[in-house]
This record gives sequence, structure tokens and C-alpha cells, in this order.
Amino acid sequence: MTVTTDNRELAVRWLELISAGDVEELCRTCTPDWTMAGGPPDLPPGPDGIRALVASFGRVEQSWTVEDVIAEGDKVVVRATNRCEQDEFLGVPAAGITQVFAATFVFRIEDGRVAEIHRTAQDLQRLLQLGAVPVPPSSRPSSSTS
Amino acid sequence: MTTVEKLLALWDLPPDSRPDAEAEFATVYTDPVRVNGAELGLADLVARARDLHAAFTRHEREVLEVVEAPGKLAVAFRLTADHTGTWETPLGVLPPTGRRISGTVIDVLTLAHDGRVAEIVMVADELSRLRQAGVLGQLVR
Repeated sequence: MTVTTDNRELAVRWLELISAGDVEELCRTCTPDWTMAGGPPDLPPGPDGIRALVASFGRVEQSWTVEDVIAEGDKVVVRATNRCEQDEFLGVPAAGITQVFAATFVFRIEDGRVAEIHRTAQDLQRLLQLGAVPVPPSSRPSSSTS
Repeated sequence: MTTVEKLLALWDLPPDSRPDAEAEFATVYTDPVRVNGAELGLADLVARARDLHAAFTRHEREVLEVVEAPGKLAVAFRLTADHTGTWETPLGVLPPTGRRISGTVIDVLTLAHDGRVAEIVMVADELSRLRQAGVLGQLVR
């Protein structure tokens, strides 16, 4: 197998491990200084970041369907669709509602492990699927008691 | 000039500042071009570029990643611009806030035999952009 093929398989496997919630295997597939951009804010690097990422999902049942994979050198782009059901998303109650959203990931692979991930996803569409209504800051009730 | 450079250059200037925007878009995109599953004619694509420049000015694009394979091209970039015009968002029309707003986009492109872009699947971080515009103060159901 070529390095590019190995990298493709690793990137796809990474999403399978996310679906399975297999934190320890995810940690094993990543470098000690792993980073993610475009995910939850302020994730620490490395395994602590992986654990924080998975913890940020809360209770979740999810599956990723891979739509497209593009690999070149140490980079792999995966375009995928997620179906999930979880207790809440960004503080919005979500239990019992199936969210379906698209995401694209750029993986950088280093010596057979995931070193870096760049993510964009339809997180706004998820909120809309949950029926979330944004209240602009200027419309919020004042906390003043005067 | 690479395909990515041509693409980004095409979107950098308002289409109406070009002598023949549709002809220039035709050098990069097929007509029609499929965008997130919907077929768009080049006139529609130029209209999208016009809307983008009507809503945002002082565009800066930073290419974050380019990954290429036969018939496929993926580009991740950050677009930063001033929100100075009417912005049509999934939440409705947003009047200008004057804020400088930055968002990441990853485009996955399928290339035709002649190298032009035949299909675009675009995922953008719209949530982050709307947060920066001050729209998402609090989310309730």
C-alpha cells in the first residue's frame, strides 16, 4: 500500500472512531501535539484535546457517512455527512431530534498518525434543525434590577 | 496561474468592475456548474459574486490548505471582509453592522476534462460568522 492510501484509510478510520466514541483508540491514532481548528473552542493539544473534544459531544449517538476523499502527500480531505442524536448542542436541548449535517475535514498525517485537523461544518444548520431561535444581545432582557 | 489562484482572483473583485464577468467566470467554471447539489448557470454564479460584494467590502482571502488529486481539488481558505451591506443569511436579511468578519470555507471541487470546475461542494463556518456579526447573542428553543 502507498503512504497516500494509508493516509486515506487513517482519515476515514478517524471518523469511524469518533462515531464509536473510542477515545483511547483516537488518542493512539493522533500525535502528542495533535490540534484541531474549527471544532470546539480552546481544545488543548494532544490526547487531552481529543478527550475534551469527545466530552464536548455529551451523550450522543452518531454516524459519519464518507462522501468523498481526496489525498495528496501528507494531506487528506474527507467530505462527510453526520447523523446524530444527542442531549444538547451548544446549550440547545436536542434529545430525540436527529441532526443531519455536512462537514469537511482536512487531515495532516505525520508518520502514520493524525497531527492536525481543520474542520468546517454546518453547525448553524444543526441549530436550525433543533428549532433554536437566536436572540440578539440587544433583545435580551436586562439583568439590571433598577 | 494555478486553478486556485484563478478561482480566488475571480471572486476578489466585484463582477461589475470587470468588462465581461460571465466570460471570465466561463474560463474557470463550466456552464452550468453544480453547487451543493443544485445546478447554477454562470449568470447565477456571477449574481452570487455580486451579492457577496454588495454585502462585504475590503475582502482578504488567506489560503489555508490546497489538496489536489486527479479530477479533484480541495481548497480551504479564510475570507475576511467588512460587513457594509445587506447580508442574506439563513436567519434572514442582516443590515450592515460595519464589523470585520472572518470565516473559514472548505471547497471540494470536481474538475471537468478541460480543467474547469464542474461541481463545488462548499462547507462554510456560517455560525462563527454570524456570531461575529453579533446576531447570536443567545440561543433558545
